Amino acid sequence: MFRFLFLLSSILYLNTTSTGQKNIFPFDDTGNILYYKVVDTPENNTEELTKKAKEFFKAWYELKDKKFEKLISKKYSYLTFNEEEKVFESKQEYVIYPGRFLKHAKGAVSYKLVVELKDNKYRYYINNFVFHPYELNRYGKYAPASGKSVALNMITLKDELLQESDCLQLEEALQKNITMLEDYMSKSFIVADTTEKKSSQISTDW
Amino acid sequence: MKRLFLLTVGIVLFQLGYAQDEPAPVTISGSVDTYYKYDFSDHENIGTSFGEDQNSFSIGMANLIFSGETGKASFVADLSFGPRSAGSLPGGNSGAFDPSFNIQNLYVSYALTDKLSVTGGYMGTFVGYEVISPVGNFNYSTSYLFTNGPFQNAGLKFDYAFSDRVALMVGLFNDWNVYSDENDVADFGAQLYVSPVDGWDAYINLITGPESGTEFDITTTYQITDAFMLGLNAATYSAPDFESEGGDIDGGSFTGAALYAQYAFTDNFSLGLRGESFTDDNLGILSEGKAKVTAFTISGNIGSGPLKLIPELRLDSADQEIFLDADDAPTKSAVQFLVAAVFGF
Repeated sequence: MFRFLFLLSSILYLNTTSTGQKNIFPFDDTGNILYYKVVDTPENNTEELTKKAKEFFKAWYELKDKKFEKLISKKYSYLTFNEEEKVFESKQEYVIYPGRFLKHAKGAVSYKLVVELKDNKYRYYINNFVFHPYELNRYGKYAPASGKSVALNMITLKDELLQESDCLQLEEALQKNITMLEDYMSKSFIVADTTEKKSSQISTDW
Repeated sequence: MKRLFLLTVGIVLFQLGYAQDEPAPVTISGSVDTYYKYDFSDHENIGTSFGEDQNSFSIGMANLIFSGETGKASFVADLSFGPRSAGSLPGGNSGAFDPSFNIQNLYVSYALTDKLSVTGGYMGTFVGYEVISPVGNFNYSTSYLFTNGPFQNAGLKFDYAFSDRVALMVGLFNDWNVYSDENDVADFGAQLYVSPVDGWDAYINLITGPESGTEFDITTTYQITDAFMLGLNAATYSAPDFESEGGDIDGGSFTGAALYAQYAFTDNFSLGLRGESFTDDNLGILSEGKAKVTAFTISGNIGSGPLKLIPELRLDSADQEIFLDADDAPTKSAVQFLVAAVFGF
């Protein structure tokens, strides 16, 4: 009986530590969370893809043309565009409300979305996931606790910081983000091939 | 109480009808706390805020915070009930104002731009290190600097963020700790926030007014490693002079500094030491004339979830006999032990 209980508890322990996030987020070879995809877009040159990407970011951040152009022209901003390399880089954040019902925000996950453009194809990747726990401040609001941020992949779901439902909530939001990006990039043309590349590294040759 | 119940029911019903894929428009958070304290002199002795009851299982406060954000506008309604609440609100102990207001924070805020926001209402003070809510403090007992600084500042303030690392707040405020100012709005307040590196936050604060006096305060925390945190609070205060037939009389002043060191041994157990030096010069806080007190408080924080247990030992020693011993004779030191339970939600 004792052996059975020991075995059962061992299995349960391994289950909570080794699965959890691995089942929710895709990971790269180095153990970091990475969403990565190369999308072929025949008959769409870099210029056309740039226009589509701009429309996506304008819609995502709810920006008007003038403000958008001003934003991406700045060197240090939450959204930048490298004209020479044709690379958009945006810092995004998702606030986690546990249960979304009468609960204060538990924290926010920041991440980076990069969209790189070439003739007839583009690729995007989402990485640099960091969880910023919130604490009650003196003004009665929950706000980021200074110095307590932690890489999302370092958090095990048995920790108090995040539950599996929180990660599922984030994953759902990321999928919406990705779907919206792909929709904008495919607008007004038919995507011939959107085969997902199974790469788990961001290479320079793509 | 009936109104509060109806308000809560109304918000719950509103939430039920709200789309579940969006964050709740109004959230509720708060805390409850309770404690047991024993002063080794066998009576109340240390004059800092809250946790006064001697050899008694006592309550702190129930705190209920409603907050919401819609677009660029947000609000906070922070209500509190209980002895800790009464000891921290206008008229709570003196009866000068209606203590049934039970409001710690009540304000609205609007983001004028990405960097500039304006906030108006009744707000927890921007001055100092410690706060009224036990959820926001590591130690359960409070410092002399906290007790003698402002608790709330009602007013209108503008916050401007130059970057993630530098921000400035300026505002006009009522006198300290009043829901309404009976002698006109005359206090000016400012706060400069600087974050030299990740995890290091510094706030330089000024609040000054003809009736309130002037307090200059520096508050800083540095999360040096994941486990080790250092904090510092230093302040100086000058009360306004009194007018008399023989000329102005010095209103008094205080100066003080408190150092906070906290170390997390595990996810569930942290230990923190607060060392404070506080000098009262003719304000009558510690005694008549000038007196200095040095206080050391060692606190544990047990638990990493919503429930936190705080066992705490505190030793205060002064340069004058400002405490009482077990025989009610004046003495220079006081020792107390307490254990508190704080539940935040």
